[in-house]
Amino acid sequence: MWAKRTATGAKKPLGTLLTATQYCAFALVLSLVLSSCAFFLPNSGLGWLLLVDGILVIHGLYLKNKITALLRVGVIQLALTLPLYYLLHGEAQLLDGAIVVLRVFLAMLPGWWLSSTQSPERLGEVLSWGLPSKWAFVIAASIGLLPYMMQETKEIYAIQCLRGASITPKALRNPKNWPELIYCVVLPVLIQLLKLSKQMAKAAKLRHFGKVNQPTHWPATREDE
Amino acid sequence: MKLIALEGIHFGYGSHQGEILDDLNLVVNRGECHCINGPTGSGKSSLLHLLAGELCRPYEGEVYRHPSLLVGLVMQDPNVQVLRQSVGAEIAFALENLGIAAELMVEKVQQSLRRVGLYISLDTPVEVLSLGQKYRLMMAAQLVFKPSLLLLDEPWAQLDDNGVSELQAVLKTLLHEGVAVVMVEHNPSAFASLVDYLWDLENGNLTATNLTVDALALTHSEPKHSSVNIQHKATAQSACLVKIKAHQFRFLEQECLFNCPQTLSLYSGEIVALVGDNGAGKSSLLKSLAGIQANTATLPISVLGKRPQLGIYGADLGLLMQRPNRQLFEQSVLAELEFSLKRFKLPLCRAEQILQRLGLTHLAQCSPHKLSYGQQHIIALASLVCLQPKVLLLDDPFAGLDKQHIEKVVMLLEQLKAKGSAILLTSHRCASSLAVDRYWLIESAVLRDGAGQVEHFNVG
Repeated sequence: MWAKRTATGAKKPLGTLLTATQYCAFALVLSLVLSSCAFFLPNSGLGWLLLVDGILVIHGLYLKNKITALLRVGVIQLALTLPLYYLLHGEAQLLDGAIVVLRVFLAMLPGWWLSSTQSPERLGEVLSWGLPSKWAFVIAASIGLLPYMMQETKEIYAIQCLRGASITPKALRNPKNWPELIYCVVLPVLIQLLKLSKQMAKAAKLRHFGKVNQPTHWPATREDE
Repeated sequence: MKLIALEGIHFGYGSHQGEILDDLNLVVNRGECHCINGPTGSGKSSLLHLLAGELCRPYEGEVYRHPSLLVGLVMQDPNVQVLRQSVGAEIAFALENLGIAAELMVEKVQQSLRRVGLYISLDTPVEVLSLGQKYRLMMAAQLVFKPSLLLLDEPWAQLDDNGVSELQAVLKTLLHEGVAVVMVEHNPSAFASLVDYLWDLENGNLTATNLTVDALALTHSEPKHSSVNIQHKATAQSACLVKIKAHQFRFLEQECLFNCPQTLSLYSGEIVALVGDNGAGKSSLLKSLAGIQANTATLPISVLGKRPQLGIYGADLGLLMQRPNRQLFEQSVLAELEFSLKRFKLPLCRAEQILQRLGLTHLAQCSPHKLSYGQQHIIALASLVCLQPKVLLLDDPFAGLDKQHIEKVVMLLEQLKAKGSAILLTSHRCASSLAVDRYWLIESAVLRDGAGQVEHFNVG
C-alpha cells in the first residue's frame, strides 16, 4: 500500500482515555501550568517541578526527540549569568544566579516537550477553541517554523564558519567576536525569517486561508497516537 | 473559455527602477499550456504572482478573471510554502480552509499524492523529503482543491528526470481535463510536448517565440559541449585531495541511504559531477565532506589528508550550499567578496579582479540583498572562487539560473580548475552546461564512479 493510514476518527493516544485533540489540549494546559510553576513556586518546590519535568524529558526522548539544543541554551545561560552574578553580587549570590538559570530552563522545558510531541496542526485546532482561527494558525505555524529555522540557523552558521568568520566555539570565547556572530548569522537568519513569513502568508492565502469562518481540521493520524 | 486575461499591465518595484512589466498582455484559456522564458530578474515570478492575484505592489492595467477561476501556485522554492510538518496535514491545509469535512480529507489527500507520483506515508515528516519531493508535495497541495489554473515556477530546476517525467504525465492529464497551466521555465524544452504557447519575457513584454516544439526538443537533447569519454588519468601531477573509502552512508538510527562499495577519489585539477535523483543523498555527502553533516556515524572520508571537521581547512575548502543567497550579509557586493579574503589574510585585490572577470564591476557598491536571484548566486560563488580553494564543493550550482548566469558559473569553475582546484558538484541530471571530467553516480542507492557508464559528461 503506497500510503498508510490508520483511521479517520477519534484516536486514543492515552490508552482509551483521550482523543488526539484532547490529549493535545491536556499537553498544552500542562505545559502552561508547569512553565508558570517554574517562576511562581518557592525554591523548596523546585525539586518536585524538576521531577515532573524529568518525566516530560523521558517521554520526549522516548519519542526520539532531541534535547541537545535546549541543553546548549541552558549551558550558555549558565555561563553568562554566573559570571555576571559574581561580578555584581559577589560569591555569596552565585547560588541565587544558578537558581534563576534553573527557573528559566524549567520554564522552557515544557515548551520543548509540547512542541516536540504535538503537531502544529493539532495545536492549531486546540487553540482555535478559544482564539480566532487566524490567530490559532499564526501561533501553530510559528511553532511549526521553529525546527526549520533551527536548521537554517545551523546551515548559515556552518556556511559562515567555512567562509572564515570568527564564530567557531573557540573564537566565541572572546567577546570581541560576538558582533560577528550577529552580522554573519543572526542578520541573515532574520532576513530569511522575514522573507519566509511573507512567503508563507502568501502560500496560505493561495490555499484559501481565511475563506471560511470555521475551518475544519485534518484528522489525527498514527503519529498523533 | 477564457479563464484569465491581462491587458496593458504596467508594474515596477519602485519609481527609480524601470518597469518590470511594460504594457503586457496575456490571455489564458481553459486547457492551454503557456510557458514563459526569460532571464532572471525579468519579472517572470512577478507575472505568476499577478496571475495568482497575490502581487505585493500595485500595478496598472486590466485583469479579467472568470468567476469560476481557482488558482494554484507552486513557487520556485517549495520550502517557503511548507506550512505543516507532515505530508498529509500539508496537503489537507487547503481542504481545511474550504471547510471540507475531516472524514472526506484522507481520500482526497491520497488521490493528490498519487497524481504527483509520491508514494509515501501521510505521516511522513515534510522535513525528511528532498527538494524535488517537496516540489511534488506542493503540487499535490494545489491539486487537492482542483484548481482551474495551475502556475508553476521553475519545475525543471527542482526535479530530477523521473520527477520531470511524472510531472509531464500529471500536466498532460490536467490539460486534458481542461486545467490551464502557466509555467515559468528556463528550460522550456523539457516540457516541449505539452507547451501550446511559448513566450519570451524581456523588457517587460511577452513575445511569442518561433521555435517549434520539434526544435525545442532537439535543443534539449543536444549537449552544447562534445561528450568526453574519460577514465580518470591519475597523473603524477594530480594529487588526490578527497578519498572516500567503501562505506554505507546512513543517518544515525536510520536505514542505509546509499552504499558506496568502492573507493572514490577526487584529484586536483578535475571537475567531478555527483549525479543522482532527488533525495539520493547528494547534499548529505557534500556536507559530510565539508565536515558539517550531523547525525551520521564516522565515515571513512579523507579531505586534504584529514578527517572532515568544521573549521580545519581554512581557505583550502569551499562549500556552496543550495540557495546560496542565504550567506549574504554585507552592505555591498565588494565587501561581501572581501569578507573571506580578509579573514584568511588573502590579497583583497582578488575581489575586484573577479568582479572584472564576471563583468559585474558596476555592482561593486550595490547591496547584495537587492540583486536578482542569479546575481546573488554568482556573487556567493565568486566569494568562494576568489579564495582559490584546493577543494570546492557545490550543491546544485546551476539550479534556477538562466543561460547568461550559467555561462558565468561555468567560466568561474573552468578558471578554478585550470588553477588546480578539485571541484565536486551535485546535479540531478546529466545535461548540457558544463563539461566535467568524471561523474559519480548514485543509482538504486549505490554510489559508484560512473566512468565509462554513460556517454555524456555534461551537467547543469
